[in-house]
Amino acid sequence: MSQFFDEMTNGAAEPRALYRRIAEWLRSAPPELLDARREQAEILFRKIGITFAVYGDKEAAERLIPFDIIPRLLGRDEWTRLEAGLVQRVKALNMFLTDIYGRQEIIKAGLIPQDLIFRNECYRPEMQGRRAPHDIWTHIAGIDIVRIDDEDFYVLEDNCRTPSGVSYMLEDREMMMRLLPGLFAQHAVLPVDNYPDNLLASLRSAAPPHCPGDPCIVILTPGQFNSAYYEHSFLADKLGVELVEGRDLTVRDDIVYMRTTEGEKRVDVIYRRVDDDFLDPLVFRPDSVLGAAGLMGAYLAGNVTLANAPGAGLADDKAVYTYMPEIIRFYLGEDAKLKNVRTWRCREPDALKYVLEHLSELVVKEVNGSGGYGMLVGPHASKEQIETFRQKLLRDPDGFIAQPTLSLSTCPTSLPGGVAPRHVDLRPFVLCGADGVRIVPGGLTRVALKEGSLVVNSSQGGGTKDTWVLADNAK
Amino acid sequence: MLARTADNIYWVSRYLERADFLARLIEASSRISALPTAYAAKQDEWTSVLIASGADETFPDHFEVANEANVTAYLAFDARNPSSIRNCIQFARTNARAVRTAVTVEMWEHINSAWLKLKNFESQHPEPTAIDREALNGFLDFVKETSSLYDGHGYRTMLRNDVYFFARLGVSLERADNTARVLDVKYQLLLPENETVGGSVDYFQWSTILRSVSALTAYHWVYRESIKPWNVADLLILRPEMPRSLLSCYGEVVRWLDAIGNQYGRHGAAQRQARAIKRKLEGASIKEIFQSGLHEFVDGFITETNGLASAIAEQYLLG
Amino acid sequence: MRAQLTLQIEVRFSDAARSANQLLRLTPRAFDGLHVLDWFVGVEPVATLRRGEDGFGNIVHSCSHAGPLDKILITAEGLVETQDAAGVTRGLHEKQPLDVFLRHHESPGDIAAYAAQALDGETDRLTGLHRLMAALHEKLRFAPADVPPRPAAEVFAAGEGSARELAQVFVAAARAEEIPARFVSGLRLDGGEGAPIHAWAEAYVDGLGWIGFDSALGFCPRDAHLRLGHGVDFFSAAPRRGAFFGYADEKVETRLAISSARQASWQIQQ
Repeated sequence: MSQFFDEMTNGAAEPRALYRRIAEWLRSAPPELLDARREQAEILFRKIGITFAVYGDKEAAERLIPFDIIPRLLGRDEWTRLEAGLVQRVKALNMFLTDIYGRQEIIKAGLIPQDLIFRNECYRPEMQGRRAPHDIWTHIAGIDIVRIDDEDFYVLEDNCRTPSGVSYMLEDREMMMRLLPGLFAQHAVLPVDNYPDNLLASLRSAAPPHCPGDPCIVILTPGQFNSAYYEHSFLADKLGVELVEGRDLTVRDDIVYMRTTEGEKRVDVIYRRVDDDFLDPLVFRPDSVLGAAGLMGAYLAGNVTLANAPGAGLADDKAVYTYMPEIIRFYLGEDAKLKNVRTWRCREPDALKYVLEHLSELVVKEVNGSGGYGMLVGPHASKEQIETFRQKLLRDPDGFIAQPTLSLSTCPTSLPGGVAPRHVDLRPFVLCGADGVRIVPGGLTRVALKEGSLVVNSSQGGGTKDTWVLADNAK
Repeated sequence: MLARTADNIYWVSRYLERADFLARLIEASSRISALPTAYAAKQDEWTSVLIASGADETFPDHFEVANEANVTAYLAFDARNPSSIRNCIQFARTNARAVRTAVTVEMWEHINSAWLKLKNFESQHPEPTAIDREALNGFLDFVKETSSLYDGHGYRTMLRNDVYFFARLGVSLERADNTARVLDVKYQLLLPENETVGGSVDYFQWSTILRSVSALTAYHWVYRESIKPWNVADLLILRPEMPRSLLSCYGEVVRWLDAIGNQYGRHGAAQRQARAIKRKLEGASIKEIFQSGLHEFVDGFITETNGLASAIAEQYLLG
Repeated sequence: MRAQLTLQIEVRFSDAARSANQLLRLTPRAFDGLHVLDWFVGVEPVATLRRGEDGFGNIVHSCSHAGPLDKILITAEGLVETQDAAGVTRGLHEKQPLDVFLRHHESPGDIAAYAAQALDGETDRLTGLHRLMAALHEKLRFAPADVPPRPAAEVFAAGEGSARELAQVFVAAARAEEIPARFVSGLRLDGGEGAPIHAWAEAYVDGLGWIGFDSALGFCPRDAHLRLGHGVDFFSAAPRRGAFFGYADEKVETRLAISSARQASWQIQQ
């Protein structure tokens, strides 16, 4: 008997009603079929060039994220609960950012320690006293969700800067409809393919208030050597907007233009996939060539919208995360609908003491780390790794938080040796426009392909699955 | 369209056209160097190949002898040679990837899989100078096919707008440049005094020139007589029906530049210069060219083509 | 002291630039120790200068030029009156909380241990900071230069640096000791040797506020330092940040002319 919540069986002999057809299909489908479909998927993905780059890995500069052909299912009732929680959370995140760069009521109320905000690298002094257009800071948020039972959803992490993965959500769906049309047809799966339309509508609504007529929207990419370049070009294609690099932009008298074969064209909204630090060499890193000189001036003058806003990264800081229940209550007067994973802030002496005593049971994360780099998974770590982290913690306790090793739920996954349960998480994408919040039913399910592994990051050998939100309820 | 997009699309075409040219050049030259010495003076063959491909300056940094194995390896497979075939394919793919959304799915998938095949070929043949003739021929066929299919996919699937025009412009301009380079290196073989020298040696040289721009068959259809040097020059410079002749290439260059100018409603220096070069070719006869000096003529043409390329970059690609 | 001054920054491009953008912090903000009687910033070729305020409250001007462009001449001039406030910068509108100035912007390296040693458990912060300034002045040779600063740890290891580099070392040292510290850029009105654009540091002392420390010269700014702006580091307080588009190198020349200034009081005291 597994100690984890398996989303198909929930530990019982009979599958949950939601998964009845999937279970039947897995029972009846010959193993060769699964193998064949898996290989087909890989060939197709490689052919269209859906790859990602792994930093520090020269050999495999462009790798495929493995795709698992067994879908992950959610019932409509489960989704409705999750969706309400996501809307609530993203509202609170935006209000929090407006407040921090504005009146700072939450700090005055003593709910969040001042140093946690202002000593944070993600806090941008340049934005102090400024308002983001329409008070939207995080236009596109990716909220990482995990389950440990069939009731609650836990937020593992908020991503308010430039969350990626949405192209996989869309391509995985295409792949499923192509490879397993029969299975797909047996389920009433809610569609996700209107995501690009939603994104476009959200970006359009976020245009500077005085922008006349149809705003000119572009996606700003660091270029084709960025790990998420495929996604940038994919989105530009689906949205029908230009994919620009910094060198395509020029700023004159606080107005942003892109250089075209017909001369310069004014730009109104930039969905930027470039980090704050690289946006403008006149304001941030002087050596950056990924952004455009004068871009921040144009932004602060209100002549262009940057999505997401500079400085929004503060809200997805792992130390700020621990205060999310308080943040939601403070701004919305409601209890958080999505739970936070219990977290020890190592900056607090009692917590640090506890963490140091329980390193082998906990997951320790760098407050500013991302992508699964710089993280300790206690139960899977060697003695030396634990010792290294102990030293790191003692040197810089403020830089770390710790969480219990979560018993992440599992889903059946097709592997070369057959079907076996593997741990999964879920990243739904939340879009904020001036005209409201949009979420398509689904998201990117990431799966840890190594047996027992809890790290689902693609850079650490994770794969993806299509996420099916069904028209039926789970209960 | 973004200026950079136009730049990328134009260069994808140029790189693939160059790869095709290099493949033909290597093929033609291996053919002549396979002949017994009595039929061809082959000592200089590979040096002139290096010059025609523009790799003569960097080659001595990496190799001592300009023999078949070394030159072929350098032109076809060497990553250190900025315009080796493998780099042309790699750069073409890099440029296409940078404008992933401007090319059609067919074009992208084709060039991406060509690149994957190249990687595969390289991992199977880690030592470029040791690649045998058979593998080389297979590779060169693959290269020619890659260029043709990319062109073909473009022809069949692209919208006829500025993106397409820039792609075609790249092909035409690169072609003109390549033909001119062959003429520049081999011009002395085409001079009238060679007629008296005559003999089989030059015959095979002439046919090599024709092969390197895939014009051997065309020659016979056009002239219906055995190979004569002035006819070769005429075919490569002035015949409008020969797709790689300078005049034919310029017909295309002007056509696509005009299409761009018409779409944007503005014509500029690039259109003006292209038309001037074309007019000059139209007004020339092979007799006059030989009288005033073939070498000078080709040299002047190469300079003017470079000037046109800069004008195009200035007007459209730098933004 | 009262000073009439003209600062000129001339940027020359080796090859014509296609376009250029500048962000200038060349306008002093008045505070208790500084009265700005008249001030002007201009740029040639003529372009619209937009005045604004950055995240630290400094006055900034920004402008854009379309090419082709061989050179840009930036002029800042005016009449100011400074008062000796014993280095205390009081009366500035502070936009940022102290915590911002405690952030480590770069790794302090060996500077941390050095700072601890220099302060040697001194409990009075003001005394400690004076000691730190003296120690750094002693240890690091002042080599005036007008180029972007190297990392503080590197400057510290090299044993010499420009005013802005020494200021960044001081800032790193103070922060390593958990003392809020910031970078200040400005001009010297005494016509002393060195690059026209000077730099020093400010550290925060409870009860007194922000106090300037100039470890390049070895004393606290009095009335011969004209303060132009502050930030967490050189780049956030830089008097000029520029970027241009084109294939060229830029060469920057800075000139400062001061007239009708009375004898600076510090010279008499020294």
